[in-house]
Amino acid sequence: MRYDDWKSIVRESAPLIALMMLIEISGGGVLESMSEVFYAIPALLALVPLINAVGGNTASIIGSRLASGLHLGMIEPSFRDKEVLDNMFTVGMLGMIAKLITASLLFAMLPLLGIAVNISFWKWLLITFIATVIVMSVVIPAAVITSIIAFRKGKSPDDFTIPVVSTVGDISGIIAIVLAIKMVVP
Amino acid sequence: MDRKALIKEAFPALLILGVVEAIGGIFLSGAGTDKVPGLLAVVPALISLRGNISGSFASRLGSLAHLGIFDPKHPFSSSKDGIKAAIIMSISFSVFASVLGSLITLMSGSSPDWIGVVVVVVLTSIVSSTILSSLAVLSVSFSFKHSIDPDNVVVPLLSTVGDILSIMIMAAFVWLWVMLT
Repeated sequence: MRYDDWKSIVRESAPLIALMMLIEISGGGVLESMSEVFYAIPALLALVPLINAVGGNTASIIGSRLASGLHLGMIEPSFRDKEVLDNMFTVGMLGMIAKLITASLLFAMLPLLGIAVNISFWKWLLITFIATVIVMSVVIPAAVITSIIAFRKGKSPDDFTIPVVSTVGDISGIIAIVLAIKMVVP
Repeated sequence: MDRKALIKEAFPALLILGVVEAIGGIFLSGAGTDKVPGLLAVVPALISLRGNISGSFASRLGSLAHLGIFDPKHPFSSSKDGIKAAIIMSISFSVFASVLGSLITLMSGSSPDWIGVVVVVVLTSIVSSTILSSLAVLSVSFSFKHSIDPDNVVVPLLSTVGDILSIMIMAAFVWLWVMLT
């Protein structure tokens, strides 16, 4: 695998990123259509990066750990590999705990900055929890599946998994937050 | 694949990232995306472009370091092709995303500020991609020198710093654009 010259990096990444952009823009359309809700409860817009990052960080830890593990031959490219399952579980739990702590901090910080938080703490936490569960249940399996498929097809998981997973994470993040708000805020 | 190392290295990183994300959230709710109609439709694409390009760049550096190709002593010269690829893709995809985002806004019945969206998104993309590529190189070589697995720290760190940085830079360019027009 020729791995470090710019033309091959562009050739390998560009088609996928172009596809991801198309998907992201559809997500942007969803966000744009919800813009009135977000401007009515401005604090909710502050949760968007938090939920979007569930895909960006938790799953990219899994993705890039699997990528290195596969490159080094420490992990078998199989869905039943114990290391793979261990990684999924541990990273999922860590991500959820970190997310709930952060959302609580954010809730405390917003009023200090003059942003109106016209929603109760428990609803806020519940929105975070529901949205994180939705995103994780999509993104963690996606990270594992794309890493393994990429590796089996001889593509570098680094160029393949991260873009796929972060895009899946963003889209499911936007949909998850819209769903969670609709479930919690009557 | 040591679980204790994963918890010890990844959890503090995830928490710090969470705080940074919260700051990003505050910036997003205060960025004034409503002042450049159509911009909100491009925000997810803009943020994910960062994650896609800088995230895979950092992750690739991690693998190259594990394989011994990336040399932490000469970080920039051993990764110049990656940086070149990152900058070329940042510019071309941000133009692509701005045009598509404005189109989808138009299709949903609002009228986008075409020029405003393109100017803000492309400038944001160029500035943040330059900063992030350099940051990736420096942090991968730093973590490798200190025997921290770059996969546990640098990739999530970069993807989040990238998100926040993009939102902050975008907010600055929105402010400038509104001032100048």
